[in-house]
Amino acid sequence: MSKASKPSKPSKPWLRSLRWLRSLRSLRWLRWLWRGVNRLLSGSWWGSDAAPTRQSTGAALVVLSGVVALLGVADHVTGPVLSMAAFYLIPTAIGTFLGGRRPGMLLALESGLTTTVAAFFSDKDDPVVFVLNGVLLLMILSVLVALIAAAREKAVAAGDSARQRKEFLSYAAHQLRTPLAGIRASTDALLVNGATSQQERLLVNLSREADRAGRLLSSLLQMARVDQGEVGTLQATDVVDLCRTELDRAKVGNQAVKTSLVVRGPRPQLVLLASEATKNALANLLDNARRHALAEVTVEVGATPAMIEIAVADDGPGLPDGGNERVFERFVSLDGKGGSGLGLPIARGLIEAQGGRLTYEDRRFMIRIPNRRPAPVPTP
Amino acid sequence: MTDVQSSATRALLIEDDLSVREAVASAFEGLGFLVRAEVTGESMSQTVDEFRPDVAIIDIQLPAGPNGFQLARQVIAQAGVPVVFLTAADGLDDRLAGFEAGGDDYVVKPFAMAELLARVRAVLRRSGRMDSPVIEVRDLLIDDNAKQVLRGGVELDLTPTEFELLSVLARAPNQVFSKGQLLSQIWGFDSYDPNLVEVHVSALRRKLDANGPRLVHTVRGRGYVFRP
Repeated sequence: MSKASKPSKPSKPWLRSLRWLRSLRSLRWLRWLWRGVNRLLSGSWWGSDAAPTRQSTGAALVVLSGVVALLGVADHVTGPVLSMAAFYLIPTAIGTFLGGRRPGMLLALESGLTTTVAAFFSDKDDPVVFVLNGVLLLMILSVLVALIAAAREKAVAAGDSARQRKEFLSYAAHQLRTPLAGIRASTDALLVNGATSQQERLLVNLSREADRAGRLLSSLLQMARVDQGEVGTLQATDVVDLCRTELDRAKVGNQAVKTSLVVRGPRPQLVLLASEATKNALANLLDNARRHALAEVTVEVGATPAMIEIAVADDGPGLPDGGNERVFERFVSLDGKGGSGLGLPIARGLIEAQGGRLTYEDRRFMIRIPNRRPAPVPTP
Repeated sequence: MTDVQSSATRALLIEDDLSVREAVASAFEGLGFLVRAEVTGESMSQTVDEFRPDVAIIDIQLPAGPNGFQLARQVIAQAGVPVVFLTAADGLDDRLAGFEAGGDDYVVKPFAMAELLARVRAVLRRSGRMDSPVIEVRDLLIDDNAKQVLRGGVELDLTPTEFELLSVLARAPNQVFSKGQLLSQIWGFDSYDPNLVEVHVSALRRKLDANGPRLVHTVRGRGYVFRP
């Protein structure tokens, strides 16, 4: 460098070709290097993926470790290759974590190359071994970079998409519910107030379709919540009360079917369960039951020391052969009545999410939820 | 408004959505309620003072003024009437907040008018604000609380649907109800099928006619009517 910085006259041609080194006297080259690395990272060459602050952090690390490496090479003070590896592992990992894959790869490349160069200049052993060591280090570092970057990007993306999906769903639900409510209520109001028989037929269709759209919307939302594992917290719940409330709700919906609640054995004590989820699951089973019942829907509640059991039965035709599991598949409607095919899968999801089971056996749907008691109760 | 309606049940409706507000008001008026519909609850205390409602139907999310929960507390404190919430939010937290605010029931949009009617009637009945739960026409006595029907002193064994059907028809004697009207008031939900009405009317008739002259008549091409 000293040669390049003070050539009095360009007497030798090879010296003239090094005249550009004079520009290094000013620190402008640092800024140029900085810009260059930044540009490399910002993606004007490769396409961008990192935020501007992350790019700068990554660029700073690249430049810093580059300077350190150059000094190390120049001074022949590099230690054994393995300690170099440890030395470079840390900035590479940090750079990857902060800057993403691209700065990480650059750091790994740089570390590998400088280690190779340093090993080459150190006079302890066979240079070929050190070159191989350097290449090996490069590969290890690259794999590390790829792993860290992939894990980090995946975690960030997963968090983002789950949150976005949730927000989108609740937003969409609210926005869709309001106009649907308007259509449904208007149609029903016209029907309540009376219309000609022809208008009435159309209004009935309109009301039915609005109702279907509304129920489908609710089901999709519920399914999405179940998929996200949202079943609510466990609460001390009176299962018999819960069943009675849901039966009453079902009764408001359809007066034509008789409903009854049977408590088998002693009345179950308070039990810890996700009561809202259980209610919704039961509501879906009751809805299914009353659509297929001829005249009666029965809910039977019982408890064993291990399980709370709720059975929902109707006096309808029951499931066709081989439908025991198929009925819980999504978008499968075995009765051909054009249901959404989501009610029973949702019910199963809600029960399983709290450690229970929902099956179809002996011509009835059986919910089994672990009998977790809030306080120690003597078992009979 | 006519004099007859001064004794009608008075429903206060706070709902910002135009379609829902007009539809609910129209349906309740069609069933003989006296309805006052407001967009927001900004002048609630004055409205309650003037209108003196028997029941309040309140949307939870309102564009201006106090929200539905605050309005419910205010109405309950001021008039002590039952409150039914209408809302597009069906999360558990929202529902619990509704009951904490003193709401008597909760209807999630989109709802069937039959469901809203049933719930409003139920809270009115529980609070004793429904005009007499007992209807007496000639030799027929319908007790809405006990869900009993007696004809000439003999109790009839009616199914819940037959009971509702008779109750709706007998509350408005001489008014012709079309099948659609009966469906929308009694069944609602997804059971819309005009044959349902025929089946239940004929079953109801069989039981009623066993103990006296015919009360539920068919008006050809129009529907059914209760003629005492």
